[in-house]
Amino acid sequence: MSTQLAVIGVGQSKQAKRREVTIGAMVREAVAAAMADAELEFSDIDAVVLSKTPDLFDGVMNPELYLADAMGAVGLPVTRVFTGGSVGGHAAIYAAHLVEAGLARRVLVVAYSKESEGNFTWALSRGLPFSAQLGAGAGGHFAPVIREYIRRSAAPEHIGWQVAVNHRLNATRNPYAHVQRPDITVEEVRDSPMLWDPIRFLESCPSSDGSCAVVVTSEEYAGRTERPPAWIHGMAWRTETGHFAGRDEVNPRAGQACAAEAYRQAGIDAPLEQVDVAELYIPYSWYEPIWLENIGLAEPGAGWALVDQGRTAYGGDMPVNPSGGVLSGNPTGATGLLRFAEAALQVRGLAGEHQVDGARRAVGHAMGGASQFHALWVVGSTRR
Amino acid sequence: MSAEPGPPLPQPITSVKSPFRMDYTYVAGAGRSVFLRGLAERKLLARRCPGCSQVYLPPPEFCSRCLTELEAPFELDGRGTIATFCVVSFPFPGQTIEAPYVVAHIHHHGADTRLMHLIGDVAPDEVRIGMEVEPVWVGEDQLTTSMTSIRHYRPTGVAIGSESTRA
Repeated sequence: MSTQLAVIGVGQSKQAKRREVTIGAMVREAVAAAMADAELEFSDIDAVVLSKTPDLFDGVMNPELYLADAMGAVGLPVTRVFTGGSVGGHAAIYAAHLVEAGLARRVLVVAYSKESEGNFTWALSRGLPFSAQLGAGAGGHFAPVIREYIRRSAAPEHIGWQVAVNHRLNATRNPYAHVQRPDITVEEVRDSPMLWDPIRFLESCPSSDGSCAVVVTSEEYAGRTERPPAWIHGMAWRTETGHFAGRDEVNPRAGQACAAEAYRQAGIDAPLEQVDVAELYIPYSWYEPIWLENIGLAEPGAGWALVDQGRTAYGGDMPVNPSGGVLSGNPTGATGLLRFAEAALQVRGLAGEHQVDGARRAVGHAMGGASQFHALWVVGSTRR
Repeated sequence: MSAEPGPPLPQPITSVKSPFRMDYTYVAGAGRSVFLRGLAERKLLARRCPGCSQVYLPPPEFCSRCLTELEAPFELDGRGTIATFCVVSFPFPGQTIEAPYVVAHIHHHGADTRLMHLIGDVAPDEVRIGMEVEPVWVGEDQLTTSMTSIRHYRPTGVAIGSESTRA
């Protein structure tokens, strides 16, 4: 990156199982908050990037057209990105690319899902020709990968329960988070219903309504308000196919390569020491150690020990998902952007009750599909 | 304006059901069609990459690693090991099998990819990583160019330990 890039506005809606507003109104909540944070008018925006799930999921076709008003996009180029659950991360990076390439001064990134208006289970479980009817759903895809991780790492089973507790306790400090369980205990997670053995109910993400928006710009237009920007120190996306011979879904190569490139740009050679806080895409609790290892915050097989030692809990030296993460709110189209936005809030010192003291460098991470799509950025409180 | 109260206002409507359907035309593609035609004849056809020697099952047309066209198809005997699995333990709408049931990643002998399918003819709590399994084919009249030609996989009864899965 030759130009210094920055996040100057962040907004998000309250997440809930069902928000009693239209999709447009819910999107507007996040957009208005991000624009107010950046102290900008729509006339200051040069392009809009929209992040969401396939139309089938919440039943509105071509929502980028319907949402033109809500996004302030009238007369502006709108690009819609789709890469599964990682889409928000990819959208943020794509917006940064537009600025870096000199095609825009300021780009508004908008992300949402209103899962209460559609039927995700149906959308994800349609019978397809030529395929076996496995009836497994999303968890049925990830559960075998988790079992393989547990076998390889010989991690004790309470690790999954502990992550579920950590993230839900974190969510109590985030007023936007959907799931609020201040009294959650390890025993409660352990005793919750088994869904896709080895995944239990309380180790799983919810289905949520929610939205998020950020404004990305260059150095020239950053730092014009009292609230500090988050400087983008490094960013990368990488993709691998879902079915290549020798693929290792426990530790996907695309995820490793994505993190390595972002760290290279950021000048990071010892991530665990040099990153203060991470917002990771963890839809099932065991994905905390899996991603810690995949993105180099732990050695292979050692991620679970960071959980066991309390280092990834709020107050630990490597706090993961102080916002409560995906386990506490999952509007899928916005989930990836929320990770990127929360990382930015941390280094700006604007994360409120879930602010990590002294957070100067943060990782935002998103994963999509069957761990095929990976996006990651490193943001900092000072220029790169 | 009259001071008399009008009829009570109706409850606000917050959602309206609006069912829709979409019809798709699916095309299997040249590579996958080879595999699907094999299934209709109870054959599991694999193909090897001339570049990296990896064997794909099911085979696409090109190696995803090398982008090289795969070699001529050859038949595998269908046996493999359970690389990993989960037990689907709860009912959900549209489910066609009664829970609990096992969905496994099966690593076929001689292949370098893994294939997802059901494990049957064994209690879910007896399924283990490394267990050897074989396909159970549907009856002659149900065979078709689809993975549904295999009803499920079942243990061969031969425990061969936790073979390295390479994947």
